[in-house]
Amino acid sequence: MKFALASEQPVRVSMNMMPMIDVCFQLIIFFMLSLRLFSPEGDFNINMPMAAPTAAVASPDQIPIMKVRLRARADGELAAVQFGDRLLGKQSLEELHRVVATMNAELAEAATATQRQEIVDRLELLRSEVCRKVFQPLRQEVRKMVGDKAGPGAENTELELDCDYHLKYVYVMEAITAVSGYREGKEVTTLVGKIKFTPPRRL
Amino acid sequence: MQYAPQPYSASCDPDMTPMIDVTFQLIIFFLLTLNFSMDQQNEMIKLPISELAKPPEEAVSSPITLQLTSEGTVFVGGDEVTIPNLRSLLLREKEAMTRERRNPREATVVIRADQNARAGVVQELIRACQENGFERFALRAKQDPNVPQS
Repeated sequence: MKFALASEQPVRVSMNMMPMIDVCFQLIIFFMLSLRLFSPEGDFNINMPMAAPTAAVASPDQIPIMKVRLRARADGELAAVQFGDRLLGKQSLEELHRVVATMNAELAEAATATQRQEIVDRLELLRSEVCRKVFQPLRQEVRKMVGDKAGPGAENTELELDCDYHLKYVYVMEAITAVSGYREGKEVTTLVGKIKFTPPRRL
Repeated sequence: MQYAPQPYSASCDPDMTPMIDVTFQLIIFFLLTLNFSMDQQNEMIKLPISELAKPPEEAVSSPITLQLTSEGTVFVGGDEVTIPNLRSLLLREKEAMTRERRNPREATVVIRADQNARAGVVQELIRACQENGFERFALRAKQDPNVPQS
């Protein structure tokens, strides 16, 4: 049996690329449609057993449980911040209420949904800035209480948050941020390790 | 001067290689940006922003994610539940955990509450979880885009 001799000129075999390109485009379209960009999220850990074992053996170097009370106005905005029995950040609170008032006034005038969204986005930024100012004195107080011996010992300090029922959650988060620590550049120092909530206040 | 008319060539074979290269680049880009924790997100919820929030270094152990909208409705795994229903749901969750010989105390309840939700409702959620033996909670916040991250 004889084989035919290979032709002397090399034969150019071209692969059919079409199916592969089709599949690639399908993949691109799939990933493109499932693309949603989220900013990263973080957690605040809260450890709350049912029956809080308070009034346990109080060692002398242990800091007593700090109590923070957040009062709300009827519309859910922050009305007062109380640390122990002292009111904090009164001037900044007035500023906060002015921001909220402008926000409500502008929202009442807004005609379209896009306009409303734009107003909400702009003023929420402003609100969070003022909020930070409101909670700054609280952070100072907590720092004073903890003695600023930030670090390993801080995990055992306890703080109890007592909020009005209809307070907006954003203020709770600001308060938790203020008391749980502070940031200097990239360094985060923990102030309070254990944050608790009181049982909800019924309306 | 006249050009001779070009003879019509039937087989036109463009070079596909650059296009395929670019296509693969795109595929890889979209693949890497694909968010795998998508089931934990909810478009309706606008999380409050916190400068101290940072993604946890290790994944939370057996999380139960509760989503709370600004209207006070709770979503668990895509289903809308009311607070009394939530109690029975948590009870089932707890029983399932005990069957697997795990303590509900070790589970973490992740609360993703809208920034305009009521603080009292969040507290009620925590209450309902506590009654079923869950005691670890994580309040989720969005990372502040304006602070430098390490």
